[in-house]
Amino acid sequence: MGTHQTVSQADEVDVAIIGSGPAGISAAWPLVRAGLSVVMLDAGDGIRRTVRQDRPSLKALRDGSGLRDLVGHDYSGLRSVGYASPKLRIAAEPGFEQGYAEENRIHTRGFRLVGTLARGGLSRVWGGVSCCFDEVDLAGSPLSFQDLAPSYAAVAERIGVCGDPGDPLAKFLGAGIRLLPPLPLSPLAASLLERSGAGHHDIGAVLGRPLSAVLTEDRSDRLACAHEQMCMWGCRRRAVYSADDEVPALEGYDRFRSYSGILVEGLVRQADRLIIRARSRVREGVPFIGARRVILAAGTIGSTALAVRHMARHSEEFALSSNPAFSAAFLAPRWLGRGLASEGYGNAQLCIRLPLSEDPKDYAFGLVYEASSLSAGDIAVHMPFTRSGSLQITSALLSGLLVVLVFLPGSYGQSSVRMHESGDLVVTGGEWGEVPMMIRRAKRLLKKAMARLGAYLVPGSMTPYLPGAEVHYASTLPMGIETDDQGQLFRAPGVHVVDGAVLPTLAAKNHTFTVMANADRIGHLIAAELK
Amino acid sequence: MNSEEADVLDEGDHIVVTGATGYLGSALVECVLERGGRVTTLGRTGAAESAELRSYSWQFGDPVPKEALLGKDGWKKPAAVIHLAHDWSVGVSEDRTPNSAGTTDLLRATQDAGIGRFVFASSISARPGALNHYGKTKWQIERSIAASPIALIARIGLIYGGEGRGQWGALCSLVARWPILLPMVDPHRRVQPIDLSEVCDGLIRLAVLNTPRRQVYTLGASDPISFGAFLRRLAWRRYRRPLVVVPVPSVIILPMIRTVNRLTGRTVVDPERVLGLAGIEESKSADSLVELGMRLRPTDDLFRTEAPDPLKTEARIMLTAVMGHRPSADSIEAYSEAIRRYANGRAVPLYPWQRSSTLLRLSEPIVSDRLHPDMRDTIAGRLDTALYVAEAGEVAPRVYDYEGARRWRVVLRLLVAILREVLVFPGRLVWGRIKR
Repeated sequence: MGTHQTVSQADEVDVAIIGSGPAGISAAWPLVRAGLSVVMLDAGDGIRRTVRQDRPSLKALRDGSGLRDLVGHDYSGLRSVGYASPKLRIAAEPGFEQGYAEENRIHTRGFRLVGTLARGGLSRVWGGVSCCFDEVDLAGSPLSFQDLAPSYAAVAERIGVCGDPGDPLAKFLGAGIRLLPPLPLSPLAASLLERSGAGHHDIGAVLGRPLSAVLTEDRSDRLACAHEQMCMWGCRRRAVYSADDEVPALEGYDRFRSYSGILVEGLVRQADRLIIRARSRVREGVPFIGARRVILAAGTIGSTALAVRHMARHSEEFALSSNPAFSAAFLAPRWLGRGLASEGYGNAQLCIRLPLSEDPKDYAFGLVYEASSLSAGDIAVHMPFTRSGSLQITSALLSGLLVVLVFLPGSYGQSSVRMHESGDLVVTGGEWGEVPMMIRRAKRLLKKAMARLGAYLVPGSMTPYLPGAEVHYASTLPMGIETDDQGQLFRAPGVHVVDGAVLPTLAAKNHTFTVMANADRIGHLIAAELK
Repeated sequence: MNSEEADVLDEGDHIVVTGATGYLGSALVECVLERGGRVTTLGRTGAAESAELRSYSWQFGDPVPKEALLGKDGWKKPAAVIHLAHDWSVGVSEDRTPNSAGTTDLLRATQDAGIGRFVFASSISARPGALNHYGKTKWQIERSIAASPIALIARIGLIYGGEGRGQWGALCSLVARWPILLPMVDPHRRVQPIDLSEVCDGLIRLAVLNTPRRQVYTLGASDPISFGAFLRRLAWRRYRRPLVVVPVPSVIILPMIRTVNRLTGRTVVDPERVLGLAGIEESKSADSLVELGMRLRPTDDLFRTEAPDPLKTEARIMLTAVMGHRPSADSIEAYSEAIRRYANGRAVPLYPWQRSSTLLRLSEPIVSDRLHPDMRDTIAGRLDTALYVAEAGEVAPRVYDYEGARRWRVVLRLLVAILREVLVFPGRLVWGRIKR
């Protein structure tokens, strides 16, 4: 329904949303419920990917017969090794990242750009960690927690977020959200959490459980997590939220239509409406859409490209925030020799808050993964040993091995975006002089905290991420500076940006949930105005 | 058999087969069934019955069950009887043996039942002066049935292919077990190999041939090859081992074999086989094959599965270096496809000595930025691809331990692995220096 229809001549709609990722979808719901006519465009191929329903659990696939399921029937899991997130290697199809930079005309220098034109955006491969930015995180910005609170609750209700309300980090991560029952903890994770108790007050590090956008109860269109540990390979039950899962529900509304394969090249203001200039990537014909309002939700950098082009602000520099990140492996020797957990949740089961200074806003946020639900190849490949030795060593360590991915606040990770005369956008990775020191500090704290829990840093396993590789980009068109409280560009009325580009600040916490809440908030505001 | 034009097996044609449980017999039965025919087997052990397959119990010396040679319950009357059964347990002591008596019984029963064809599976080794009992027996049987107008004789050469059973199985295990040198009686004698499926095809053609122009047909390669070359080719192409066959006169080896057999009290090596292979004379098969409309695979192509694919070769080397043992076909396929689709599709250059997985492992490059996409087409990158194939596939049960093990065992394994890496490290480092 609507995925491959040709856009008819002069489609006049109330709102056109560019991008079908979590931001676009979250903005769409309030508009659609208010009865407005909405068109959603994305540049993907419109194919809804499914995983075969009879795919066994991770343990079952590891009996030697699961090669095709674990590396893909088209062997696409072998197309790259180790340098990107494992989920990008195995859960995403080969064409997932293809075309994003080219079609958006984005070039990078010293920046690892990750983006997709696919329907659902990057939520197709995210880990589901859902965090609220609280008063502390938003202090000093035009956006307040009170503004977002109703939207946090609404989005959580809509997508399903599970967690433990009694967890030490529950309030920090999501006060006021109704939570689904938490996922089960693996024996190792449970033991770490127990040892950690309420936290280590001397270091200030607090270990807890993240809130995850994963269903633990069945719904009509998505099923509860079945603990098959196949998260890295794509959930066959759609338990982990992915924005493209909501498109069918939206299409149930008469006045909502979505089109794929449409690449928006520009916007033209004509009296009281905006015309979308686009081309089709899949067939002939130039679609013609006129809208009262246009919402840019093409991902921070994609939306920035569209906005800056529309405003014709060549050669101006826009600051881009991203979270400097690093990963490190820890070994809990007590767990050597224990069998791997045969079932469980395969994404991060634990998270940790590491204070970097006295300032409560200045903290690093880490996600703790059990190595056994990752592919051993992704671990072994980093070792300097022979391949066969690396595999043997990884195998021996696996039951006690943890991988921690740590993000620093976005204030440390400033890069820049500039548009050339040609209209091409260049993203230049920032100097980040302070970052190595902050990373060292975070690492020290992490080491201490983990050591208290009986887990020790594996020497040589600390790997800093290239700027951009952590895929947390935000704040190029921050609210209050470039956009108003509706995300509307000051210099381009009628054009609203609702994704990470308008976040005024980027905390170290995962920001996707906040982006969705903000998009929902903006959607409500626009709906109220246009009705 | 009703059509005069086509000498082919029609749907529903009925063939009676003896020796259906043997190496050749089971392949023949399958072949007939695959072509839509129906089979009645006569033998000691019955095959699983089905709509297309019936079994009757019979052995040499017993009267032939008449129902076996009938068409009934909707089956056509048998078009032919193909007699493969051979009783190995008897030795030749008189002119007529249970083998030949049983065969003539069967032949008579066939004629009485009005069946128009009797195909006897003989051997190229069948000669009056054959060195072994087998050859002599086959000769005798041939003589005893030659007078019959419905009898056709198939002299079959050295059968290869299919399951590792019978003489073919014995040759395979011989070649797989002996490292390099294999003493052999008369390795220069030439053999006429024929693939198992080709033999089955030939026997079926003989069964339905409308107007045979001769009685004796030779089913074997018309371009013979020395037995030693046959073995060497088998060793190399199938098992990837070099084999040197050393001719030893039968005068020496036969007494040795007999002594060994007597000493161990059992037949370690059957002199029958040795003699059989040693005593082969060539038999012209070209005319037979032409008449039957058969073209056999050239002996040059023996055991050659396909043209050697450099990617598959590289797959074997890389995967072995990672896993420590030869990879399965699935792993090789996965690796090759991955390189074809996501790398440059070609094998990376390797020094000749690096084609040994062990030596490759000892010289695995130590690379700093091995994860960079440009590394995909280097040795390090290819080894990484092999790593991913191995750990997701055949080595997964070993890598992912769900049962758990005693901790000291795990620590020991870890220490051993680390020790090996430490020992190997200087070599890898030096090699890197030399290369640069």
